[in-house]
Amino acid sequence: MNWIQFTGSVEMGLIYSLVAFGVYLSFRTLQFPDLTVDGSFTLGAAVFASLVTVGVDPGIATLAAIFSGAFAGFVTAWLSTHLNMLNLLAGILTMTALYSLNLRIMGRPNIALLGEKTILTEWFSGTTAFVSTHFLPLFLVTFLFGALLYYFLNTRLGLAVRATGSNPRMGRAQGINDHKMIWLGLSVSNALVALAGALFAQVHGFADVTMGVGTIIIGLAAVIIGEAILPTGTILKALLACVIGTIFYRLVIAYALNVGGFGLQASDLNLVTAILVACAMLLPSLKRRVKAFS
Amino acid sequence: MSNLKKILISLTVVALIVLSLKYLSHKQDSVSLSKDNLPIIAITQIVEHQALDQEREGVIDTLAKAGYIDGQTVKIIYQNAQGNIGTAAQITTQMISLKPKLVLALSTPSAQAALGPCLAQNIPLVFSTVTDPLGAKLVKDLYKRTEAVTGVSDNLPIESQIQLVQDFIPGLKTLGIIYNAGEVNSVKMVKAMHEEASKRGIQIVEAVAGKTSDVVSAMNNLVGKVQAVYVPNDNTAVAAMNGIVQIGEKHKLPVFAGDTGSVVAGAVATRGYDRFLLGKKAGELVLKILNGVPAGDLPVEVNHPLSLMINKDAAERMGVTISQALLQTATVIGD
Repeated sequence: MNWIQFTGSVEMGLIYSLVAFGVYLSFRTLQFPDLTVDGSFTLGAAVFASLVTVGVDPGIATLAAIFSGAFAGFVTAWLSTHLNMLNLLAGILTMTALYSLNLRIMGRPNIALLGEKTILTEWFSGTTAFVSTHFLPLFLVTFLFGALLYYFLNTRLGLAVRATGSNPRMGRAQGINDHKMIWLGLSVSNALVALAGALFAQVHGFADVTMGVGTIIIGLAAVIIGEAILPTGTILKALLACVIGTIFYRLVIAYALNVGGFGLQASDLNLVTAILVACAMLLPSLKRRVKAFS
Repeated sequence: MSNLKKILISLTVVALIVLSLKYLSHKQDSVSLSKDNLPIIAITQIVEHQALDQEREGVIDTLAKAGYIDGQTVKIIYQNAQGNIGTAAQITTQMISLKPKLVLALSTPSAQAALGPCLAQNIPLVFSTVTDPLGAKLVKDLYKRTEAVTGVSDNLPIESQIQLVQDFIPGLKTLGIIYNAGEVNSVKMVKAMHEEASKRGIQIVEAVAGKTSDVVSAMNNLVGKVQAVYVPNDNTAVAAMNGIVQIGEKHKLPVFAGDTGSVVAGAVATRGYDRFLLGKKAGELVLKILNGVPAGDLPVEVNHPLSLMINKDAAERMGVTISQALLQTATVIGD
């Protein structure tokens, strides 16, 4: 692995950190297995791409992408709280509907953004850090939204969301409207994921209707890997773990791409990635065993 | 005490990671540079698929015949994103970092992911299995060239496709199409097909399948509504060709296709491109670039010879009679 590849993986990790934040909020904080993200990632990219190609300011287009994601999350939450639908099914339904909706929004399955304005070209043109023009803006965006999420989870409202996740009955006894907290939590979660989709489209120059496939798996893997690498006692550490976990996952893929030899071929990529992650997950249990001996 | 232990353990883990990274990076460099700085050709492909694989083989075959043999005179690096666009973007980063002579991208998303980095690093990009390079913004003009991007467009002339079905079913009034509305190539083709069909007084009935497992029910939907079914070069529909053919045989509903692989799988006929041949054309573009022709001087290849392929067995099972004239011009299988 060389420097370009390393920074490339870190950049990709920074984008997907926002997905990990979203997944952390739904799965870990609210205990709500939310599969909407496969759809809302593409939704963010689709909304951004369609708006920018008709001449909307990229900043506003990104904001619109964030709100569209929030709306998608709200729909899932509403299906769950008001139709008493199983959480998994609610997410699956929204995700399925979003596939068609994304095609409608874009009007075609793929929009190329070469030559269009993006927040990278408008706000960060000419900034270079670590041989890459994308690193600094992505770092700033991830840092900003991570900080906002941290702040939010420590406000009274954020505490209410957390209380709803850890003990809904107790939350209700304290006068928390748990339905509204689920709406809010999932909206914020999917807004972050849609932002990641919009960023992906801007960095890589296109939006494609299939780009969201597997987003939930990547997000979940990142959260779990992060938890294995870092202790996650506090919100701050947990969010940091999300970033570390995502970057680690991307580095693993980058490494898997480099594994020649041993009779491996290109089609073994996903297998190699899975095995490497499995090995990494052994670390904490080894750590425990070492502790037990000493 | 326990704090000290924690610190020691974390330090050990960090040290291990750093050491292994160092070892790996060292190893990587030795892998990529081992054969005395052989020129690198990087191939990125979105997913394992017959059409894409055949084109890749065509390219590699053309290179080999011109003396560019992998591991001896050139190093060919091939990566497959296994359907994940995020991985496709990472593959591009990896390839660019190896400073290849050129990048060959098979499929529209792979080419789009490679475009930005290639332009930024002045590495020529050759694409193939892209139907609409203009719409995908890979090139600004097919013939008047500026940027170091070129390739092969596999856009099929629509008239030839409707004519194909009419050749076999003379009184054609209704034609069904199975495709995935999420595939940019198919959507463009179906749109053009509607226009051409209305000129010929044929009604098109669409059956959309979002994923391979939906294809069979889409086909069932067409039974009784149309005289024949056409399956364009759609990755989703083609992957379920066997299922389509089974239903076609059961209900004597003839199935036509946009690629040769589907005819082997049991469709009646196709008039289309030989994927291996398209790969060879892409391979020739690669050769020219390797020999020093600037990619910006090479126009995008658009017109390719069409060939008719008939599966006689399948035609019989679906109740289609074939005229002698057609048989003579075609490659016939399933005798």
